[in-house]
Amino acid sequence: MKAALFSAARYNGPAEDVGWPVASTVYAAEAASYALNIALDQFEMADQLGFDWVSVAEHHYAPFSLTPNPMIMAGALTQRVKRAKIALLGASIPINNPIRVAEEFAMLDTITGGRVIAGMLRGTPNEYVTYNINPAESRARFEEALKLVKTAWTQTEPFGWQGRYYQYKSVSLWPRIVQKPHPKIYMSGSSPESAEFAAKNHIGLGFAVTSVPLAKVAADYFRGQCRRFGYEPDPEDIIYRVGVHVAESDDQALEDFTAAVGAAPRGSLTMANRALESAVAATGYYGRDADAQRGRLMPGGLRERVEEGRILLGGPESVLKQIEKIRDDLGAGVVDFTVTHQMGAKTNRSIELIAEKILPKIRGW
Amino acid sequence: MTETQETPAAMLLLAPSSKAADILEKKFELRKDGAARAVLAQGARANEALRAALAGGVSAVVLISPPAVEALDEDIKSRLRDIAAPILALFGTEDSSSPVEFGHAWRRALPKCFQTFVFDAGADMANERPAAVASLVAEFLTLGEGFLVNHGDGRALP
Repeated sequence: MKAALFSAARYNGPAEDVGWPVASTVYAAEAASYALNIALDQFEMADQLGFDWVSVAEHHYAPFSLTPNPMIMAGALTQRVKRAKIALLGASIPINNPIRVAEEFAMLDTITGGRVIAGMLRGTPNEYVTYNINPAESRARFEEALKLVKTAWTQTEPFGWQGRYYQYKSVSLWPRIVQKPHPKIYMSGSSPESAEFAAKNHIGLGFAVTSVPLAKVAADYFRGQCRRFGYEPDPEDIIYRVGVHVAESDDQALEDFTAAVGAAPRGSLTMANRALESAVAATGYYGRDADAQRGRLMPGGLRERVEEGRILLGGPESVLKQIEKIRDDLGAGVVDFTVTHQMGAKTNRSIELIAEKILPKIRGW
Repeated sequence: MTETQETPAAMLLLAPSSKAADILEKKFELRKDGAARAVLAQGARANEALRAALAGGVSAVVLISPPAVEALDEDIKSRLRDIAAPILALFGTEDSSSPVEFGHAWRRALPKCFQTFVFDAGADMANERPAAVASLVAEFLTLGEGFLVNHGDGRALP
């Protein structure tokens, strides 16, 4: 099993934090700077402590995570992370210019000598408002954009693209991608439609903002689809991204985390604006099992979240047992340990404890 | 095509009737035989289109799902570098008979070949995605090599 660290760069300064998008009238520049820079420090620490990957994400218009352009964060990481792979989980390709995304990946892959992992996501439902894209087009845009990115990475002669959503007269990437034929690609995989597409196209799946029981249903479905399309996924084809806080003991971890959650701006995304979420749902964004998809985004109590594997919380031994469940139920080969609430020295200690007490054990799994 | 050249009024259609041809017919006279300054050919009829281009007087060639360069007729293959007219070569991303990978050799053999991939279409792209094919062909015939430059009105709300 491999370990990734995702330090989400959550803003902990003053904020009104009502709904989504969140106003920035009440805002402290130094708190934002701290959030981004301590995340960079923690990514560097993870690299030095032996994490296999560091990962970043794309979110907009909220204090939840200050990386609306994960490529910029990844660019900074190329100068700090010297060994671990840098996983973009992801780039939200349906709301961006796919060729720009392909170029940015190629730059990162070139600077790092081929250490980039390419998560290509649809983004969260609210994010279709960000750049004014119809969420009903999300899946079709995703599928076309992904094909376009792969084409741009593999073609060496200039080409034009006459798509449904994207048209380019002449594309020719400089620099080129280093990894051949291209970096490992992941997509988010909670819905049946995503699992089918991933299996058909031999793409890995990433689970986030979900629970182990829900992800198990999706992972089982994915494996069934892989058999149908003749693809044999390996454990590394499934990533489980999950919030984490490890302390010396269960009680200490609970005390730390409860205090951090209480002090932080709520900073949630889709479900912070229920009217908007309903409007997105009405476009058909979620697909065939909309109820399950919407359900997994609902916030829950802390005890329930730990029990369902929505968060890894406790001392090292307890967290190891929680990870065991991720391995056994999902067959996940990568755990993306996520710093959702920044606690400074306590978070640093949590990362150290993962490296010292957890990584050596899960590595042999 | 340079600024001094005119948009071809007629196009020689070396391809079956299609929905894309129906759209193009509103802008251009489509001929099934005879001479014209623009030629559109489907599949192996690329040979005829290139032969016409080599004979001169053709200012634009459109090839839909052309064969591999190495599969062209010998008399054409040996003279590809003599073709002066710009060529628009369309490959469908779902076409297994003329896959996008063929485009590479076309580009290497003919520097004035513009390979364009028509997303989610096979060899029958002229019926599967007629608007996508017709709009690009019309732009190419109207602007020649200048079709690379977007001439559209980018204002969402003029």
